[in-house]
Formats: sequence, structure tokens, C-alpha cells
Amino acid sequence: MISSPYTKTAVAALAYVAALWLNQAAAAENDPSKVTIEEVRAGGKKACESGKKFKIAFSHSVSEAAIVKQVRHFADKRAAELGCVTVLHDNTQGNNLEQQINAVQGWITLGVDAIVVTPIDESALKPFQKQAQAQHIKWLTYLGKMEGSDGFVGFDHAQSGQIIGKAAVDWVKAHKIEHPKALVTTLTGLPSIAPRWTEVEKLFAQAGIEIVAKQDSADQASGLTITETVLKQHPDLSIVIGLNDDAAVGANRAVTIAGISPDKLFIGGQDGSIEGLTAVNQGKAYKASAAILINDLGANVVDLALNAITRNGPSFAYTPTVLASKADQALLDKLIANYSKN
Amino acid sequence: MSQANDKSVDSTNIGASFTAAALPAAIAFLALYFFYKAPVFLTLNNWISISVQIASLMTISIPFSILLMAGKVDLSVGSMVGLSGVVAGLSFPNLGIIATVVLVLAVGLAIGLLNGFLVGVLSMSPIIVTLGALTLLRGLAQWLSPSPLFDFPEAFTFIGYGRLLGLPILTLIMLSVLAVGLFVMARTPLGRHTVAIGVNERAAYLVGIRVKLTVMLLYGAVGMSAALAGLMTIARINSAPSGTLGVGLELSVLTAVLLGGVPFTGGRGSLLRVALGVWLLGMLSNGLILMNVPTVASLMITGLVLVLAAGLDVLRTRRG
Repeated sequence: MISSPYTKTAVAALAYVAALWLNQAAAAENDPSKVTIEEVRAGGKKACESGKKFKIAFSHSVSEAAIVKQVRHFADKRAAELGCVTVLHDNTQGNNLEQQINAVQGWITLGVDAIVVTPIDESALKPFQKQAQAQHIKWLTYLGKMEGSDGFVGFDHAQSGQIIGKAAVDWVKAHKIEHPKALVTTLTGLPSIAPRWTEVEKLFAQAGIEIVAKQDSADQASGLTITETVLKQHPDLSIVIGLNDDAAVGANRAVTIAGISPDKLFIGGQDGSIEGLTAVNQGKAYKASAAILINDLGANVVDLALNAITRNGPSFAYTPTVLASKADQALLDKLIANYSKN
Repeated sequence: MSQANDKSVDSTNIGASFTAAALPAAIAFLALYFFYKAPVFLTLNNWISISVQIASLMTISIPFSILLMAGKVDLSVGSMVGLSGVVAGLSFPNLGIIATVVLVLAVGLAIGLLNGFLVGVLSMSPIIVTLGALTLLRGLAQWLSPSPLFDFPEAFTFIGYGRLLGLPILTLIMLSVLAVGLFVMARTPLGRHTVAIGVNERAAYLVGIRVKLTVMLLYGAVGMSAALAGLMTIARINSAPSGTLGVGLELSVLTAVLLGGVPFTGGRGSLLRVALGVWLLGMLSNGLILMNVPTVASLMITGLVLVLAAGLDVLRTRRG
């Protein structure tokens, strides 16, 4: 019973604070970046205890990429470990929307339990999302987000950009480089991954690093050509940041061919591809890669889909990105070991 | 009357000279513009760089041009480059360098001859056949290489950056291919037969030209040159990514060849002009990067150049 106005006010204030705390707790619970790998795995494991079999379909937009093949490998490996899951893969390549739509349509007809898709074009995939969900097929997105999806298998491009950008800034400071100049590669056709270079730009601006060249490159050949050309214009270039490891591997090749001392340059990539990690391990100009824990990412494709189907655990989560460099040889070895066939 | 005729002949000659000189003039104009914007552009060092960067493109574009002069096309060259890289990457540890190079060139030749057989002997559509091959060969490359292939023998990758007689080895290979192409077109019956087939395939057959064999040989040469370009590329980047190696290269080759004035219908063309077309593309790419022009603008400028070149070609044909 509440009698005095003071008591009422105090109770109201307490209620407000409690409501605010509950809201914050709920927000934290729904924040994919707060979800741990252990929570994700526990839910996936529970799903198989029921004895039910599941079919999960996974469509990546560039299935030809080496790193995507590895993600698929780890998804298959996780499915085999659990024993109750079959993973279906499509053959979408080069961000071909039509190929992806055809695959998704086929999976809806097949009646799979969940579809995990890298949305090449959200608006084009929206009708298929509705169709799938109407048939009780869970719809999860990988990398990109779509409104109303049942789950999200992500890794944070902003975190990736920040990790590699910070590593470059630290290297510049440690080596007391005066007037540092950088080349940053981008992929302007894919704005969803822009934080991979915009975060780098922000950090460089704060640190007084001049970006003298910004060009699209996501493969070795163009990474080599662009770096080779920029080095002609700026022989005192001190940093190259690749949008991914492939572009950075190309840059590393350009530096090797030009005979530039590895001590004078910081090359950094993103993703943690085997080629990138191998170059980092050589301890030359390729100093670091913002590496996604590729084994966890592959396993998350399966576990997050299972969690969406069974509601046993979180279905929205990020896979952490870490700095792979010679400074942490144990972690670098572990990341490289991820690629050994097992 | 005669004066009028003289005037018209003069104006035709001037017009023809203008359109024939359009490509060298465009190259000269662009070179001066890039030099003004980025003085390093006109240094010998940078031009040697450009020559290395266009080496693979030129190596394919020369035989491709000869094929197009015969009125045929091969759209599978990009995937052929990818497959060659993968075959080489897989073969190095087991076969060594020389045997690998021979194997890759043989594979390229065999695939080219097969394309030629389907087009020349079975009279299938060159576009359909080679588009099919484009997909098939890319799939094959990816199937053969589930894991990345990289770090090739140093003695092989030396081709990608080493020099001979002061020139990059890749540049020398490119110039050799150009020289062979020029010799074939100027000094051998194959060159004359190629143009005759392009002008009128039926008429060429009726005058005794072995059309089917010629077409097969031309496709074989394109396949082999694509395999050679594949080897050149992986020597340069020291990696053979099955998913991206050579992707879209067929469009770059077509662009260069059309820039060089070889019409899609065949029947005429000049390899030197094609070489200039390839050089123009390489120069454009190099100059735009030196100026740090954003990619979107670079794409538009390159597209615009192609459209202008096509317009000049129409002019040249009409005056022809």
C-alpha cells in the first residue's frame, strides 16, 4: 500500500530505474556482439539431442573465394560433428544475384529447415524471405543484414578495419615514421563492407597519416598493379592496407619485386586467408592481418541456424576478428593450423 | 570537275589519315595529359612498368585479333588463363618447371583445338561454344584447386620480375608474340587465308582455302597464348587463385582488339593498331592510378574511350 506522496515518488523512481535496467539488460541480451561462442555452441549441441534431422542451406555470394571455401569446410565439419545436420551449398559466384535467387528458390521448394544467405540484393531477396518464413523455414543472413530475419551470422567489418588500422598506426609510431603515406584499397561496389576502409581512414586522419591513393582492389593481380604504380608516384610510401588479404598479398608481391626493404613498409590485410597469414608468418613487409576466426565462423553458420530452428540459444552473433601478427606467434600458428585439412 | 574530284580525293585522304592516326594521337594526347598531372608518368621506368602490366593482355590479344579477323571469337580466354594457372600450380611439385610449362601449353593448345573443332568443323556458334567453355573451364579450375595455390619455385617466378638484355622477361615474351603475329600475317599464307575467311568464308572455301583447318589452328593459337598468359600472370603474382585469376579478361581482350580497329565481323585489321589499343588501355589504367582517380570515374573514362574508338572505327570503315 502506498500512502505518502514521497513514498509514491520514491517507488515510481525505483520502478523507472528498474525498468531502465531491465531494458538495458534485454538490449544486451539482443546485442549480437555480446553473444559468446560458447552460448552459440551450447544451443547447437542441444538441437541434436532431440534425435531430429535438420537441413541447412548456405548461399555465399562469392563461393569461388578461397576463404569462403574454408568457411564451407568448417560448416560441413561442424555438421558432421553434430551428426544431425546436412549442409547444402549453392554455386553462386561473382555476386550473381540470379544464381542466388535460383538456389534459394530451389531450397524453398525442397523444404529445408533454414536458409543462411549473404544477401547480394536485399530488396530482390525480400519476397523469398517472406515465402520461406511463411513455410516455417528460418531465414538467416550472413554478413549483410535483412529486416525480419531469424538470425545473423556476422563478423564486424568495422572491428576489422579498426584492428588493422590501429596496428598500422602503432607501427608508424614505433618506427617514428615522419610524414607517413598510405595506400588503401577499397571495393566501392560493395558499400556494406565499407567500414573495412572507412575505419582505417578515420584512424589515419587522427594519426596524421596521409592517404595518397585509394583504389578498388580485391585480388592479387590488381593489388600488385596498383601498388606497383603508386610506388612510382610515391616511392616513400610507408603503408598499404588491403581491403582483404588477396589485395594485400598482391601489394606484398609488388614490394618484393621492387626490392624495397621490408622494414620500410607496413602491409596489412583483412580476413586471415592462408596466403595472407603465410605472408605475415614470413616476417617481412606483410606485418599483420585482421583475421576472422574462420573455424568459428563456419561452425556458426550451422549452430546459429540450429538455434533459430529450435530456439535453444542465440541466433544472432558476431564471430570475433583478431590481429594476426608475429607479435603473437601462438595465435598466428593457430590461425594457420585452421587451414590444415582435418 | 576534275578540281572538284581532286578536292574530294584530298579530303578523303585527309579524313582517312585523321582516323588512322586517331589512336596514336589519342595515346600522345593522353601521355601528355598524364605527364602534366603526374610527371612520373613519362619516365622510362614507368613505361617499362606499363609494358609488364599489359604483357599478359597483349600475349592473348595478338592471336585473338587474328582469330577475330577470320570472323571468329573466343570468349573462354579468361577461364583458360585461370585453368592454366591452376594446372601449373598443381604440377610444379611433381613435374618440375620445364615439364609443367610444356604441359600447360599443351593443355591450352588442346582446349583451343577442341574449341576450333566445334566451331570450324562442326559449325557450332563460336559465341555459344566459347561461352560454354568459359564456364566449364572456370568450374574445372575451381574443382582442381579446392585450396589456394601459391609460392611457386623461384626459378619460375623469376620470369615475372626478372630482366634479360635490360628488359623485363614478360615484356620480351609479349614482344616475341607480337613479332610472330606480324610475321604470320605479313609473310605466311595463314595470314592471307585468315583475312579471306573473315571477308567471305564460303568464297574462301571455294577458292581452295582449308577453312576448317585454318579455324582450328587459329583457335589452337588462342588457347596456347591464353595458357602462356596464365603462366606469365602466375609468375608475376606468385599465386594461382582459381576464383579470380583471369576473371573478366575476355572483356579486356575484346576491348583492346576492338580499340585496335578489328571489326567484330572480321575481314580486316592491323596487329600494330591492336598493340596500340592494348598500350592505350594499359596507359589509361596506369595514368588514372597515378592521378588517384576514383574507380567509378576510371570505369566511366575507360568506357568512354571504347565508345569513342568504336565511333572512329565507323568513320574509318565509311571512308574505307
